[in-house]
Amino acid sequence: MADGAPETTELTLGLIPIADVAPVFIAIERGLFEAEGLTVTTEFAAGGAAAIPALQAGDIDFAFGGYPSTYKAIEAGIPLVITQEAVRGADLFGGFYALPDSGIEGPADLAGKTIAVNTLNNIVQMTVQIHLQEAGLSLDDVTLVEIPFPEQVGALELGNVDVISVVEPFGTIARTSLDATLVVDMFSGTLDGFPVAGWQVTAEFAEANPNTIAAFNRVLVEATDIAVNEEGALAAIVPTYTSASEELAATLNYPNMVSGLDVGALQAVPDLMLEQGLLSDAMSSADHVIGN
Amino acid sequence: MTATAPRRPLALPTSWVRGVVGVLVMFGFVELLTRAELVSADYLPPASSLVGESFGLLDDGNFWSAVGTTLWASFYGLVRAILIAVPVGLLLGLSKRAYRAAIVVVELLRPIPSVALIPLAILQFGLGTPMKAFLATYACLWPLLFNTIYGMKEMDEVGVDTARAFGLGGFRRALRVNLPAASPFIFTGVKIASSVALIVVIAAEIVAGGGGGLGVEIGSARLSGNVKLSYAYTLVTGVIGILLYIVLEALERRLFGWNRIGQADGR
Repeated sequence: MADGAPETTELTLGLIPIADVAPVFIAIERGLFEAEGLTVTTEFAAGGAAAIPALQAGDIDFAFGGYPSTYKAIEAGIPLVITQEAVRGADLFGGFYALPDSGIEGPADLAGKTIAVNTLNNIVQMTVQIHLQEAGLSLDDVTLVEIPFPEQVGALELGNVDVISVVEPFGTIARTSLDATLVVDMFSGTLDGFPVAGWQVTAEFAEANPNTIAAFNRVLVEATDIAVNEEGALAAIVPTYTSASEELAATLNYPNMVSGLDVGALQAVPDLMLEQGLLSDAMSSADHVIGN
Repeated sequence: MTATAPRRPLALPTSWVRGVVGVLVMFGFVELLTRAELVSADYLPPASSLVGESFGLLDDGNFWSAVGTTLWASFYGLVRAILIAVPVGLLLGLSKRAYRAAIVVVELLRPIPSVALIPLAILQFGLGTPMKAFLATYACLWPLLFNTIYGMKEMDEVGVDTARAFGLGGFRRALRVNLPAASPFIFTGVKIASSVALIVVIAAEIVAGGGGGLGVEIGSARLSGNVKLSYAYTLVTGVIGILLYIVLEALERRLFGWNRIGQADGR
């Protein structure tokens, strides 16, 4: 790994204002970036879809985003490189929920139902498909409706959909405000610990900035360790950069925040995308990480 | 212009009273909807709690920086649109040939919603102020351009002929006669465009994100499931719109009072 002085010291990070990126804000608060000679600015992107063009434009240097968007962009000819993992699925980080009196209690009850997903053809839909398959069903047996996460709990209450598929904090909100039934834990069974999101840069940036990336990675390793192991660190930092209340931040189910790069584990993403037809050709995750 | 009935400047007391009544009725309606539980308070908080939440924002440094970011992008976008649309509008208003040549292109571009250009704008300008200002400029061009063109068409021929008789050439005539005469129309365009700019910038912030701004705060509140805060920011956005309107209205009265009472002396 590169240990020299960072080539680029002023970095702009493209983030989504959700709990997943807590290590970045822990690192900022505790001066970990400064200790590596880095100055970071954060820009909020509304999602990976906005972050990737901003990366291409050179407006942001590092983007936090879900892997399916990354691999689809790579297949579309946009040279992106994953520099580090950030988030993997954890218990109750995501879930499918139904109204308590709906009689929908497990994946087998999903046949014929209308399911809300935040975006079609992304990771949530992939998990829906897997859980359906394991119950002997397929996507043809359900109707998918595109509804953004923040509006799904309302749609469930109003009866617009039978089942919602949300990540935190909306699972906690559905449980507390509607007493919703957990139909399936999104990242359970074969999806236990499934890689969800990580950090990416353009291939051009990666080539020109090996030391910067190494320094950035060291910071995130340390900050992630704090996020995961220091009691109360997450609940304290999350309300500072999201609009979540302190009560909510203290109760929600956090994802499994990880650091480092496990190419073997990452491979599960393009493999599943290929199997489900979201990629047209096999892709090796090892070809699209730093150092290659 | 002479055919239209001269509008009186807003009669302040009554219009204020009516405005306040309108707001109170709306306030009561929203309050009733939620208090009667016709709409779940989880999705539409009662008006009284929203107003409280909005006042709470005033103490928040984050809030003021969001207001600043959004207003700056809107203003920057609007000014750039004025600098482009007014000269082009003057040209198209003066020259029938130029108008015919350009109108096809204008009518082709005009229906493109500026939010549809967001992905392209991000590619070109990133997520920050230049991207938002670009979209605002694009959206503001059309009301400004058309108001300028119409202003030119409503020209008092006597004024133009007089200038011609005094030997003023085309360019100087445009600057000294046409532009001042069209300016009330142009200003109406500015008023329309100013709210367009605000709308587009906030929409871009909600859809794309960026370094900050009211739309980013609305989006972030949504993502955290904080419905009340999201509405509070939305309410504040409306208030900013009203303030902007009041300022521009006052400016218009001051600058173009001559037009309203029909005393265009052409200076």
